[in-house]
Amino acid sequence: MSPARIERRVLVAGILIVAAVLIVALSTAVAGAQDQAAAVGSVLSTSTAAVTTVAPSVTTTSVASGKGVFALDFTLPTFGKSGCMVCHGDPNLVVAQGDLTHSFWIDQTAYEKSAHGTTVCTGCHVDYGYKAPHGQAGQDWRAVAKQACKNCHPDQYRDWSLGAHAIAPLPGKVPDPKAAFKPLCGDCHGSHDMVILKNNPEGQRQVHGQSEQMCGRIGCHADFWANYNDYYHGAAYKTGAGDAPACWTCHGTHTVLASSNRLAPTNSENLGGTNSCGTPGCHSGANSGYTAYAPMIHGRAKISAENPIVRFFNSVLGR
Amino acid sequence: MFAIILAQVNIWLDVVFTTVYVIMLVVLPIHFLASIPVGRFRKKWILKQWPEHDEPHPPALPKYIHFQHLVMMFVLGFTGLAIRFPFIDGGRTTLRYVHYVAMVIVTLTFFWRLWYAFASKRRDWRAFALTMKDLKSTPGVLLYYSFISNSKPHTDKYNVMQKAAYLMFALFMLLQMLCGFALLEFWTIPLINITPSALLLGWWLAPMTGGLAMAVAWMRILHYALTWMFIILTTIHVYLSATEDIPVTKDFFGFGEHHEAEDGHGRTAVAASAE
Repeated sequence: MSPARIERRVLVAGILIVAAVLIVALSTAVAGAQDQAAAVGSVLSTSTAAVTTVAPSVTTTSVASGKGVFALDFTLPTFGKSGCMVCHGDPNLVVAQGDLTHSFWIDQTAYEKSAHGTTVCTGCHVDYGYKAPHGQAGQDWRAVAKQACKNCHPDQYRDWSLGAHAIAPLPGKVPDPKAAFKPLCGDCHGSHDMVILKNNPEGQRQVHGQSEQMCGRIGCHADFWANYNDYYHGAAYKTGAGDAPACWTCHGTHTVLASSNRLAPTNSENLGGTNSCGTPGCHSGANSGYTAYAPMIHGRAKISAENPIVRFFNSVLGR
Repeated sequence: MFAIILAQVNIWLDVVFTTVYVIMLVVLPIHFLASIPVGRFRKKWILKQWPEHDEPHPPALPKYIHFQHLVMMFVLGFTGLAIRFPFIDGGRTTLRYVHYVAMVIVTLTFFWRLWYAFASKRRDWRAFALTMKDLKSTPGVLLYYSFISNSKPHTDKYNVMQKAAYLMFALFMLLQMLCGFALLEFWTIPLINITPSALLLGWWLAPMTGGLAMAVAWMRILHYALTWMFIILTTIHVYLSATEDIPVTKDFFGFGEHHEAEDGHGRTAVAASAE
């Protein structure tokens, strides 16, 4: 074998060895990165699961406080809103959903004037403190954000958990098949533009007028919103009367119960006293005779239709 | 005893009064049309033979008081119904305040008219007093208005139905003031530190109905029913003023012609022509 031929074979072998080493090294690097990502994902899902349980762990309390520190590596900054607002501050930020586009723009000015204006994004979007892009498969980021309220408002969350809107069944009760459609905190209270209520009469007035948005939307209680039209309550409320009752004035706020429930303030046995009709500032001292008016509040059309004179005219007019 | 079914009572009030009013709106034009075949329409609207009066012009003060009552009672009726049947955006607070202001003006005007009727130099309470003579003339007046007779008995400045209507207005106004005042549950009268509801109802109706809230509910029902009575009476009053004696109606609002009684007996021209 000539020396030149030997040299060429050594050169090829050397190249193959270097290539093999490079391939092994790259494979190792990729595998290592995947393992690391899996590890982070595992911690992330554990953290999310933790904050969605009734009793949050110590770790998640600090995570979800809105002012706490993430002890893990993350890509997006969590101490302020600037990282998120790089993209979400752009009014043109939309995501195509079928034939429609959905805006993901956050009006930072409005947000900072809201009740949570000092809370950082990851205070509610607790599952977004780590990586971009968002919306990995299996994440219900909306549900996480809509329930994150409980980390700062545990009393209200407990009250909600005892009412008809609670997802988890009460002890001794079977799971509600409609649980997936029940409202979370954010479904009623909104999100980025929540008004300040404390020492803010204008904010209180504004929220007082939001019965339709909170309770009477299509898919929720649109039927009860439509038939809330008696003289002094519903019809007056719909013209913006500040002294007419909102849904929660009678039905209660977080522990909302069906009127058939004996504990409900709107149960026929509980309408007087300081409940519903007897709410302070309304009809103090309302007795059972007085509360006999209550069926009018959601049943004016029905009671009217049952009136013999109305029935006569309806039959004459062929209605 | 007083455990009324508030929901049904409210619906009954709406239905009964609305039905009565609609029927009245149908009957009044028919009544007007009925004046054509009996010749009363021609005498009044074509031959201009309107009733004669003992007094040339109504005095200025009653005219002014009448005008003020008209305006304020229209405001009260409109705001009252808009409070019960809300249709104006922005709530009812403004409506309530307008209602209260009109209520104060009407109350003062009412007592002003009482002063004029009983204590002024031109006191005219006798013109409104129902006498036996009036009561005896009732069948004749009813026959006249139902077109069975063309002769209206003349007893006084006002006939028996006018007197009865004006006295009902006065009585209803007094009742309406009292029950409207009794609806004020959230305002405390200074110095005596009690709400008008408690002051007017707390000592008699509240114990009978089982509580102040129920007593106020009763007052609200009465207040609403009286509102309808005013609407019905006023509609008839306007109809008869316009169809029976348009010159004096115009005169009452400052657009009248001078009418002197020719025979001094205050007989109507129709009655005179019938003779």
